[in-house]
Amino acid sequence: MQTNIERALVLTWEYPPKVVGSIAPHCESLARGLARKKVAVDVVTFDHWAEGITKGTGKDRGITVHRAANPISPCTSTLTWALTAGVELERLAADVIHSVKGKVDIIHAHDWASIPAAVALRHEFEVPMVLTLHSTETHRSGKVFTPYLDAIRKIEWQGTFEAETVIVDTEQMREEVVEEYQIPERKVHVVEPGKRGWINVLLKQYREAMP
Amino acid sequence: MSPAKKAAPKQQKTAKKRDRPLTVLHLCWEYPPRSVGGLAAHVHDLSRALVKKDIEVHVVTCGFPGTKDYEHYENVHVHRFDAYTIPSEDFLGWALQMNLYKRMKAADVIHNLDGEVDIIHAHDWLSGPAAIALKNAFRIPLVSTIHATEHGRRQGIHDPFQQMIHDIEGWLSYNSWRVIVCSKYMEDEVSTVFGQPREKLDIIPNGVDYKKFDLEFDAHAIKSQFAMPHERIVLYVGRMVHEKGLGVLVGSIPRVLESCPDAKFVLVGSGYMKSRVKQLAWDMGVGDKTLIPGYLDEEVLLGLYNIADVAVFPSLYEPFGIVALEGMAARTPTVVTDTGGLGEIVDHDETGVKVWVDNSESLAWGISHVLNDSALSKKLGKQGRHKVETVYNWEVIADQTIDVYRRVMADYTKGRWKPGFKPGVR
Repeated sequence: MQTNIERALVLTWEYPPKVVGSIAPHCESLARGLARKKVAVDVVTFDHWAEGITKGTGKDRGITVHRAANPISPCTSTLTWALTAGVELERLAADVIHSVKGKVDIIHAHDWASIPAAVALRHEFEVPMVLTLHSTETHRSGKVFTPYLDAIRKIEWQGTFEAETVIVDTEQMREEVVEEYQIPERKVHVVEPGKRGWINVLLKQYREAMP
Repeated sequence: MSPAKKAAPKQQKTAKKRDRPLTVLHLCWEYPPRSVGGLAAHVHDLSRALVKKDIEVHVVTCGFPGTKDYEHYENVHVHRFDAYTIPSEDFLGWALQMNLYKRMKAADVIHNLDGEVDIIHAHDWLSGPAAIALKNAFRIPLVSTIHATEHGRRQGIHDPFQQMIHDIEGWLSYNSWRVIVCSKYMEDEVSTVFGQPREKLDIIPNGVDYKKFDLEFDAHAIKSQFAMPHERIVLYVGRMVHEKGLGVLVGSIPRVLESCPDAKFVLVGSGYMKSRVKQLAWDMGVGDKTLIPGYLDEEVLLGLYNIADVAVFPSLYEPFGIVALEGMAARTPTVVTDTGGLGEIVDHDETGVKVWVDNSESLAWGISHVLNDSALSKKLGKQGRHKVETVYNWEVIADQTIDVYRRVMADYTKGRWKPGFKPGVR
């Protein structure tokens, strides 16, 4: 398996300077790590106040950040926000894929808010998809089952179902994801972010996800 | 590589493209046998008419228990996905998730056709997000039909839920290469509430299957269900809701009876105002001259359209008014209020009679005007039918729709917005 990863598309709902939770710093160190390994990285993310395309310099050389705003406002809930903004995220990602003539090797989505765009892109462009689950809806709201939370669970399930590979950060999380979403154990891998050599482990997973 | 060498395979590609029929992918949330509103019938009739003109039509629509994932029904390729098990707390959350699964399904359909789809045609906001995403992914031009707007349906935007639907409608019109609307009235609405240039809008009316009104029926048997032999039937058909103007209609009954005591008002349909309309008729002392039979079988209804002496549609808001076409198709003189699309369908004293909106006296005048002049009544019936056959004919509508497709394709071919590569082939 010597396929080279030349270009990766990272989908995340937050990315610095917009930092809300821990996904933003995680994606930043991921993008920088990949860029150091000579992978061209396109980060596609939301930022209502900073729409546009930024080419990174210095530490961020090799990283291009594409920021979208949601054309729909106000939204009635986080769910409807994510589902409408996801279409814009998909547009930016599609523009990247067209501009490099389809030569995107992997789509890497982070958590449920970026799953709608990622699974749709996977069907539209037939590009392999990797999903990192930082937490699940059951972690966040416990065993509360409302139609709203079930909708988010269904999106999470759809992500794990569509993804070639699901990445989690601990063994415990791996067991929980396999249990909750009933996905084959061999699809779920533990990659501890920040651990020495973690980018290499991730690249190995990318290569295995490719056809 | 020399430019000549580069050009050679390109020519081959266009030659291959010309061999296949123009291919259109329709996105709509309902399609027969599932039918909630009027959209299903519209897309079905349009698709069948397009297929007769050698267009290849694929429809991607919601499935529900008992329907097939794929069927080739009346020469239309219908593709369905599961939209039934989507969990959601409200309609909007459901609709947006449904749009995700819809575009995943549509993407698979496009790949199975080797990407050879010329036009994506979306119907209303319920297909908006999917249509926008597919357009951006495959770079296939998007045409949309805005059948009605949230702003019009609710007479303004009053809460965040409606605002979101309103925004999605605007987003869809903005993303469409051209927008089809059904009347001049809707053109005004789409251009003003969504700020779309009028040059981008095409008016193509709705159609009616007028041949189904030419059926054999027992006139006496049908009339005896609704009126005495000497009575003359004034027919209303439609949902019993506020915007249809039923209060105005009942208000006009006493005045019509003054000049035409044999009139019998038959109000067909159902809705939240049904019991109120009934009560109002009795309160006004015309309960015995009013019959509200609820929903009728199609065969009875078609017969009733034929034997009615006048069909009346007193709507307060109407983007198009397909019922007026049905009255005209049955050669029944039609009285409508001069509002929205209704006022555009009828030419006063030529193909029907127009009266003032929300005005019982004007409506009563219109009804008596027709009932008391049999020569006029005959003329209106004949010319109304003629207009339906020539203007609101699905064959004519299909031609107009194909003109829009061809125009968009010509613009697209000249333009620079093209796929950077063929998705799926890397």
